Amino acid sequence: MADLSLTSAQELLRTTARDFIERECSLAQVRRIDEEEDGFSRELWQRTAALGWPRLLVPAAYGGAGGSLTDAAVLYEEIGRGLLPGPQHSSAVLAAQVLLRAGSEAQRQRLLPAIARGERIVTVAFTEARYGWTPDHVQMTARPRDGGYVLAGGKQLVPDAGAADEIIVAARTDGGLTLLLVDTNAPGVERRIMRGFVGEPLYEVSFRNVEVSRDAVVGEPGRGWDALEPAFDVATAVLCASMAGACRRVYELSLAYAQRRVQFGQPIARFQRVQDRLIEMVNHADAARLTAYEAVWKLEQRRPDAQAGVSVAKAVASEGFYESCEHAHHVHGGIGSDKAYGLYLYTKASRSLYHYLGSPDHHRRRLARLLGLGG
Amino acid sequence: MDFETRYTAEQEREREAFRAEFRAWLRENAGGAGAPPDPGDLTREQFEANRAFLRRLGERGWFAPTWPVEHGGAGLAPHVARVVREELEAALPHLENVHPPGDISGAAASAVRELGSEEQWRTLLPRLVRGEAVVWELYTEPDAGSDLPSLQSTALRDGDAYVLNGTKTFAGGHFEADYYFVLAVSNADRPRRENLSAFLVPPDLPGITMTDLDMMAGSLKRTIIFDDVRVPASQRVGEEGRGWPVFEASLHGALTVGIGPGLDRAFEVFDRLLAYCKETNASAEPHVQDALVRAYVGLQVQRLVLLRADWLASSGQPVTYEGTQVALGRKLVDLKLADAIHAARGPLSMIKDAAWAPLEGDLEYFHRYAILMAHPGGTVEIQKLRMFRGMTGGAE
Repeated sequence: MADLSLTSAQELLRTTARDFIERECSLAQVRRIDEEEDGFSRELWQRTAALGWPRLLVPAAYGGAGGSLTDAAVLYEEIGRGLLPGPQHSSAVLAAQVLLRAGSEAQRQRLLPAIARGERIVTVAFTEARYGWTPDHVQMTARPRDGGYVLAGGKQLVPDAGAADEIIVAARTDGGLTLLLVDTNAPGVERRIMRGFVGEPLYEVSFRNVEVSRDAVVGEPGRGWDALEPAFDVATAVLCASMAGACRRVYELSLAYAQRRVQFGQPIARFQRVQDRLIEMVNHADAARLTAYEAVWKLEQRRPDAQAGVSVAKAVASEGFYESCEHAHHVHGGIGSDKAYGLYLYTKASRSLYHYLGSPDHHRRRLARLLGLGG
Repeated sequence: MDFETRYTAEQEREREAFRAEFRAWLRENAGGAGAPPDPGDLTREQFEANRAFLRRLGERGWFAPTWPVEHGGAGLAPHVARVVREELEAALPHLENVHPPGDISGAAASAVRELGSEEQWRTLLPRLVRGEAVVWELYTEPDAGSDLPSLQSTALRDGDAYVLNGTKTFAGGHFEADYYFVLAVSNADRPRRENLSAFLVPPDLPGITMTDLDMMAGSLKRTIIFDDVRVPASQRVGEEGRGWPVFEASLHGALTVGIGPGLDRAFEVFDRLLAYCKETNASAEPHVQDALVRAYVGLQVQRLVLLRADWLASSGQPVTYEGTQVALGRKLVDLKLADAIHAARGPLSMIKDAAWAPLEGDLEYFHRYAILMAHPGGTVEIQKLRMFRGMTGGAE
């Protein structure tokens, strides 16, 4: 028989993470950070770094904890549950995975220990004005010059670029995509926050003839997608665990409210129309969690259908989280729209994470291809 | 059957004559009026400018153009009165937010006209009908939302006044009001819905405190606490214990007075989105077309359901569930359109800053607005309850 339990070490990680987030980062705190100019709290980031969270997925050889992907899923489920702000995922998962797969030994030695300690923050800039998560959506070019490159153009909706020290930029060069490490303080780099109904701080990053040396190239020129695609898969699976945690919390908030809120002489949880919504929500939360953990497991086990597992998980998590928030607002009524209550923070996150690392539509099309459908 | 609103040649002449007059007046008087897409962004200066404009409009009776002149209206026939709205929509950016946030003076005017005293007809009604007085509704309480008749605030008669105690929430908006329209228990010994009285309470009476609720869309809301507030009995609207019928009367006329907030914002947003998609050639992808066409079909159905409810009411036929059907449909159509926009325009539709956002951030605001608007006046669940009552012979 299969075994869906966590190990005792994973249970401990989960309890520690939940306790810390509940104690140190209430929804009021999340809101305060969200309303900051750059949507970032260095103080909170340093405290989570002190707990060793950015180390988790970095191999021991680079100063990390060498944890498993399931360990990471456990931690990120809690991070999503509490909407813990900060560049955990963009730096310590996505950027670290790209460097692990494609970075030179010198790049890994320089960056991975610093990422693990939280001393350096690195994000990945992929999407542009014509938004999408396949290589053809990258139009920004990098021209070769003196062994290095000159970058010109812009990226949009880049998470955590404001806090980042360096950005791994995907740019088009002869023959394909090339990944380039760019210092955010380099001349010609400009970052502007794109405010809106979104969960994480998203930035436009513009490059005005930014020169980078040969050392800045991550992996082989023109072969950037080969490193990005598997890094996206790992990052997407971990993100799905985070979205599953958020989904669960939205359900729990709604159930507790429905059991507490008395109208017409009884708790509104007694009304079938309210129950229908709560049932939909628990179905979404369960589906998101199960598909996320199985995707993580398939990646760990190097199963041939791991990519399909990731796309199933993201399609399920994106739609489940989005719809759960809508149900939650119906269950809560007016108080759900009061910023002080905090539900809207989940709703915002559900809208932006819906697209991040691929919308359900993107993943359904990818699944169709992986299942051998179509041409 | 005829699905088009038609005017006779005579009516057309009247409409065009009035249009010329109104346009000339607007050119002289509309300067400075307007509003941002999100009423939460309305400045004090813009609020004052809009109030001044609405007062000028009210002086001519055009704040409530179909209402009789003696009550402060312009006594215009409906076909002529419609020109006011048409021209205002064309002239003022975001007309729906030009109206003071949280104002229900139109609803209050309907209640006063149906059940107010002669004294109130003389002193109060013209001020409401001319848009001179901003009125906030103070019905909802922390423990009485969907189940409004279970409200707990009390107004106990003491000589020539009522002593008001209790907490009202999700009330009003930014800035200030001239009256609070309050429902409170005046006769605790009587059954539900027969125990309430309604008051227009001046906000400067001693014992009133107010805190803000910062909402995810639109204007602020307020929590307002009454602590032994003495309200003159002359401020009671309707008889003692008849507060519920007053509340219901306020709902009847809510749409017939004032320029009112735009209830059919979805249609405007969709039209703008469609134009935008054509201009930018953003509508080429099949999934974008699919989302937009589904939204279009939903809006057509909503338009027809609204048309039928208006036709039934204006031709004096019984309305059982059709009014609630419109209210429910509006909430669902707004949410579906918000989803369709999100699906069609992707993550940029969630960006507020006009540097990147399509339609200057209108889409981002509409998304938040649709989620928020699912609750005022009754949640989707409550609308369904009302609608079913209407379908099966109960009172709506």
